Amino acid sequence: MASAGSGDEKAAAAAMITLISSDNEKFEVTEATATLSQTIRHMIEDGCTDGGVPLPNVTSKILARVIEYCKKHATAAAGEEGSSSSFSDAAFLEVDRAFLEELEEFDDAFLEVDRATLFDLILAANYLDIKGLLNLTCQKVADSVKGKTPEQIREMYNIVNDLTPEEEAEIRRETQWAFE
Amino acid sequence: MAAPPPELIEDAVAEILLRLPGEDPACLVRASLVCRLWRRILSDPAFLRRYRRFHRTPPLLGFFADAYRSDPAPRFVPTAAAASPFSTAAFHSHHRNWLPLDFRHGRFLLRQVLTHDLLVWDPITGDREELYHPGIPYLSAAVLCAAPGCDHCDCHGTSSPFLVVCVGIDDTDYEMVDACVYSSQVGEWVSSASVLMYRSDPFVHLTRAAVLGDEIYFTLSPGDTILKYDLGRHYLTTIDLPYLDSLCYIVMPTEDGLLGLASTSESSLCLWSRMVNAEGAAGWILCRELELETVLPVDNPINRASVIGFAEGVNAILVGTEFGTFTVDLKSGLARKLSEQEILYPVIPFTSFYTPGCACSKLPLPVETN
Repeated sequence: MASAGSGDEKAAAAAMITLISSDNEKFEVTEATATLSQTIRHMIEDGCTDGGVPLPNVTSKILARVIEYCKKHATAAAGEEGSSSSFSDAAFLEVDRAFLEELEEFDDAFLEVDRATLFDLILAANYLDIKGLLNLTCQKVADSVKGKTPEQIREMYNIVNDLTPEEEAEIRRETQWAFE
Repeated sequence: MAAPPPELIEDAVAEILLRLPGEDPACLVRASLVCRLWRRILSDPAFLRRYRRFHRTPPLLGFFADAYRSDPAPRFVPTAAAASPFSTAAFHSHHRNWLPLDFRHGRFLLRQVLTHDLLVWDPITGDREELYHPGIPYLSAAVLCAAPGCDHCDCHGTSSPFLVVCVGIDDTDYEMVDACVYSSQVGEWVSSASVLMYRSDPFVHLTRAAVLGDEIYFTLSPGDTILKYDLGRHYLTTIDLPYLDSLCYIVMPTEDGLLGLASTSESSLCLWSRMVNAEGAAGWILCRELELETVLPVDNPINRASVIGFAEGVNAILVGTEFGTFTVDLKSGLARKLSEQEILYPVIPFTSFYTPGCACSKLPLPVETN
């Protein structure tokens, strides 16, 4: 069916994408927000987003958080494009700096989640190929692993030790220096 | 209680492990003991390649102290921040007769104490290549990667091309300084050059050489001259130094690709660059002075401070004081303590990536072959 309405309305409508979570919840987002995900960007380029984008690996709870991240960072990307034109005076630099600080604060607050949510966010960022989010969440886990023993790491992240006691003993013997 | 974290797929685990800190190799090793999947990822040579690309700059894992003095024997000092796979003992038990002269582009250059033969050794791959004596009574030498277009983030082994440049005093004419170059591709000493010093007692000051493109800079002592070997033209020249308060100084490449020089004046770290003025004349400019008592995490006045090394890539100066050994990051100006020891003589910094993929460790090496 041919759509009614003016050209402007059509452009605005085309710029919105519907994302559908694994539990069938629908999220309307702008194309700028959605294309922070390389996976979705490719789908848009291939014209496969009519009728919404099903994301069977992402729950509504996690998708809502992912969209929150993308919205904030899409605005940041747009802001950067605007200010990196011919304007480079102090006022603009000041705005840039304030914006970057705000973004950092946002990221810090965004990471204040439990470990299960953090892992779900990593899986979603990996699946959706959102570089910034993957970097942010993986760095958080990597930082938490520093200075921890294998036992502590397993316990923190619910990882089953499938090495045999013999294998473990041998590795420890070979790399004793790392446990001193 | 919160739900337990879901199981991660391999790609996601690799993304996490990629972000573990390179300056703490023990952290990577401990992670490799978490489970089979983590172990497989970390031990894979492909992960090491990816890890190098991700981090780009090999971290400082330690340094050789007293390498340029015959007594005491050189000591490997791992950075205090982390446990090191390259322990003092591992280096020493089998290095007793080899003195390190240089470390650059993933390779150590060592000198046999008695025969003065040279050895190029990669501590990560275990590759080694012995070079026969260059034929001059050399005092200092440098090893460098010779692979065209290499960014030197991942140079390794003795199968990829390298050069060794030696400098020394002509034993028939003490006013002549000689240099010669070994090419691993040719398998022999390929070129040499000499320069007249017009002085009675020039000797090559044993600090680590600096490499800038095709130019290699060696320090001379007494310290008012440095030596430049041009690899392209096979040409040796001398460059005068600025007046320095301290006898201890190092030459190094600056971030702008210029020849830099670092020394101390009382408790200040002085950084010089060799610049060319509008008339085309080259000269030394004092670019930066850092007050070490402000920069270093020490509470008391510093009486003894020496510039003892430069960690390339990391872009940090190593400073020895009576309160221990520190790195001063030239970008951030921040200092970090490396060791409690007071070391006021030049050292050889050792920078490298080390993942459990390297743990099929070729150490201890090299062993005596004759």
